Amino acid sequence: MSHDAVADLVERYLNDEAFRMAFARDPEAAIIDAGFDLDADELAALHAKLSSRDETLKPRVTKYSFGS
Amino acid sequence: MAAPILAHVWQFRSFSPDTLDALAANAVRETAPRGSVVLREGDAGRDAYVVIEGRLEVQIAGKTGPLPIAVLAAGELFGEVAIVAGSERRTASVVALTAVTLLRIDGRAFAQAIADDSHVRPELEAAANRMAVGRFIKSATLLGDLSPAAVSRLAEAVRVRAVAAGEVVIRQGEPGAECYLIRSGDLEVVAESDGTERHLATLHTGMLFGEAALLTGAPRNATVRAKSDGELLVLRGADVLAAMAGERKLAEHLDALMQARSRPRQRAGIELHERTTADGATILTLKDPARGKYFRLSREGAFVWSRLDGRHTLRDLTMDLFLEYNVLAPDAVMHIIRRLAADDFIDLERLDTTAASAPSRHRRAFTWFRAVMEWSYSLTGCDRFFTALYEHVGRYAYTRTGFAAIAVVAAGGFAAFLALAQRSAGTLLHAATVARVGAALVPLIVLAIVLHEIGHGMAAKASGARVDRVGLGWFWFRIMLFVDTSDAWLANRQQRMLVDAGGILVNLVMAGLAGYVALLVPNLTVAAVAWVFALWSYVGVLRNLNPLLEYDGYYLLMDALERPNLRGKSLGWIATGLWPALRNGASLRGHRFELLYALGAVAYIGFVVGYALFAYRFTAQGWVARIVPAGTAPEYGRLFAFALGTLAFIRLCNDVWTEGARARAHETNPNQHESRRRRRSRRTLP
Repeated sequence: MSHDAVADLVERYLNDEAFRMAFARDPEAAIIDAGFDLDADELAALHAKLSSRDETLKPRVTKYSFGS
Repeated sequence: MAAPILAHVWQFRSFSPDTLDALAANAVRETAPRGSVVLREGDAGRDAYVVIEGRLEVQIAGKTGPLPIAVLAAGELFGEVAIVAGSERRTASVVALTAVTLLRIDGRAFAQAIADDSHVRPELEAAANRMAVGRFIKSATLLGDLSPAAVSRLAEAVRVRAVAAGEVVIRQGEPGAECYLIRSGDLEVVAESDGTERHLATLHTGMLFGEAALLTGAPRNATVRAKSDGELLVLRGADVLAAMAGERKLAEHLDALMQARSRPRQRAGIELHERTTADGATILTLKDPARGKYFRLSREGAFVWSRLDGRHTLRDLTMDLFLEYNVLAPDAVMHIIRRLAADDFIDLERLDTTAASAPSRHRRAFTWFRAVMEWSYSLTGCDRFFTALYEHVGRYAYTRTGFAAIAVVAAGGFAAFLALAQRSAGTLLHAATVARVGAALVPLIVLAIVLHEIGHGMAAKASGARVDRVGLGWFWFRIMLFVDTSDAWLANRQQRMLVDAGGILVNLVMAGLAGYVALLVPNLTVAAVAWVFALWSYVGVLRNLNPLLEYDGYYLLMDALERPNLRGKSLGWIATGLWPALRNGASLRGHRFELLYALGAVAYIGFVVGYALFAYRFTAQGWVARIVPAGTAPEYGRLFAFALGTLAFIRLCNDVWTEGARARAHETNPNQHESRRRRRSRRTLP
C-alpha cells in the first residue's frame, strides 16, 4: 500500500506553516480544505490514541531547611 | 491650493506645473474620521488620494482577518495601483488610523497625467510592484506577522527571479546567502548521497526555502529545483536578519520551519534506560550523565528516538511511525523533537530566538526575584562518598533486620515521647532553663538536617541510584541543605518512594531515640533537650510530608501517583489551560489532579495565615505586649500573618508564572495534545 496521500499530508504539514496552524486548530477540517483524500485506515491512524508521556523529568532535589 | 500639496508628492516630481494645475483642478479635499474605511479591497474605483494630514493603514484580507502591509502618512499617495495596473478593482483596503484629511484626485485626470508624462509611469509601476510584493510577503503565513514597516523594507529589498522547469535553484553542499519565497510554481527538494537522489519534499506557492544555510552558515543541506516554470522572491540574508532583529515572531517561525525540515541526531553519551512498572508497562528514560538530565519517552517517543541518526527527516520519522504503529501524528513527532531539542538531547539546526529580542522588564524582574529567593551552592562528584558510606554503614539499615530495628526505635520512641508529653513535659521544661535547652538544640538540629539528607542518599544507593550533587542554599527565607537524587528517575516506583522517605525515616529514628532518652535519663536538662528535639523532629516530619511544597511529601505523592512533574504540570495548567477551559465551557474532569492541587495550594496559604496567628497568639504575643503600646500586640500578630500570607501568595504566583512560561515554551502541553486527539476521535470525516 503506497499511502501517497499520507506522505503528501506529512510533507505539507512540515513545510507549510499555514497548513500546520490549520491542522493544530482542527485536523479534519485542515485535511478536507487541503484536498487530501485519506482512506478509512489512514483516518483511523489520525485518530489513534497516543500515550503522550514524552517529557523532561525535573531534577529531584530533596531539601530540608533549618526552619522545619 | 491643491497644487502645492501635489508638488510635494515624490512620485509627481517630474510633472510640469501645468500638469499639477490640471490635477489640482480635478482634486477635492475630504476628511474621514478615525477607523473609517477609505478604500475597500475588491470595490470598484479609480480615484487616487494624497494624505494631507493623519495616518492610514493599508490592509489586505487574510484567512483570519485583515493583514496590515503599510502605513501611510502626510504627503504619501495611495489608490494609484488600480490606475497603473489598469484595474477597476481595489487591490487593498485603506483604513484611517487617525482622523485624516485627504486630497482625492479624479481617476481619469490622473490617468491622463500619467499618459502625458513618460517619466512618472515607470516610477508608479515600480511602486505598484513593490506594493504587490509586499502584499504577497504579508500573505505568506511565515511572514504574516511582520510589521508594515518590515514588510515595506523587505518589499524594497527583494529581487524577483523567474525559474524554468528543471532549473536548479540551490545545490546541496554550496554556501548559501539567500533564501527564497515561492511566488508561483512548484519546486522539488532532493538530498544527494552516494550519487543517488532522495526526494525530501515538494514546495508550493507561498513556501519559503533556503533558510537553513542562510541562518546557520552551514552549506546547503539539499538541492532544490523547479518542477514547473515559476517566480521566486529572493531574500538576502542581511535583509532577513535585519527583519528578524525586530520581529520575534519571524524568528520563531523560521526556527519552527528549520526544525520541521531538519534531520535530528542523538547527542553522544545519552543513555537509554528501560524498566517495567508493577502493572507491566514499560517505561523508557533517557539519561544524560554529563549534565544530570533525564527525559521520559513514550512508546512512540522511543521509536522516534531510535531513528534519530542524522539521516531521517521529520517526514521519514512520521511515515515510519505511521507504518510501524499505524499512528498518523506529524504534530506529535514535531512535539517530541522540539522537547528533545529544548533539553539538548539531540543535535538540531536551531536559531537562537532569544537573541532576536531582549527579555521583557517583567521577565527580568521575575528572574532577578527568583535568583534572590532561591540561591544555592552545589558540590558535585560526591557519589563515591555516598557509595562508601552505604557500603560501610547504610546497607545494614536496608535489610529486614534493619527495617525492624527502625520500626521498633521509631514506634517505641514515639510512645515514650507521648507518654512524657502527658505526664511530665511541663515539669521538664520548667526545670531546665530555656537558654540551656536552646544551646543544646542548635547542634542537634544541624546534625538532624545533615543526617536527613544522608538518609536520602543512603536510600538512593539502596535503590541503585547515583547521588552526584549535594549542596546548601537559601530557599524563601530558609537556609537549607539538599541532595540531588534525580538518578532515582531510573528506579521503579517502590524504590523511588523509598528514596523520598529516606530522610523522614532518619528523622523518625532520631526522634525515637530522643524520646527514649527523655524517658529514661534522670537529668532533667538532658531530658528536656531530648523531648524538645523529638517535638521539633515530629513537627519537621509533618511539615516535610506536606505535598503542596516541593519537600519529601510532594515526591512521595508524585511517585505514588506515577505522575512525574505533578506540581509543574498542575501550576502550568492553571496558568495556561484553566482560563481557556472555563471560557470555552470545556470539561474540567480530565484535569481533576491539577485543580485539586491548585486548590490545595491556595488553601495552604490560608493555613499559613491561620497558623501564624495561632503561633503568635500563644508564643510571641506576650513578649511583644511588653514593648509595644498597650492593646496593639494583636495588631502586630495580624500584620505578621498578613506578611506571611502575602509571601506565600507571591511564591505561588511566581511558581504559576514560571510553570506557565515553561508550558508555553513547549508549545503543546502533552495533555492538551492528548485531549485534542481524543476530541477529534469523536468526529468523522464526510
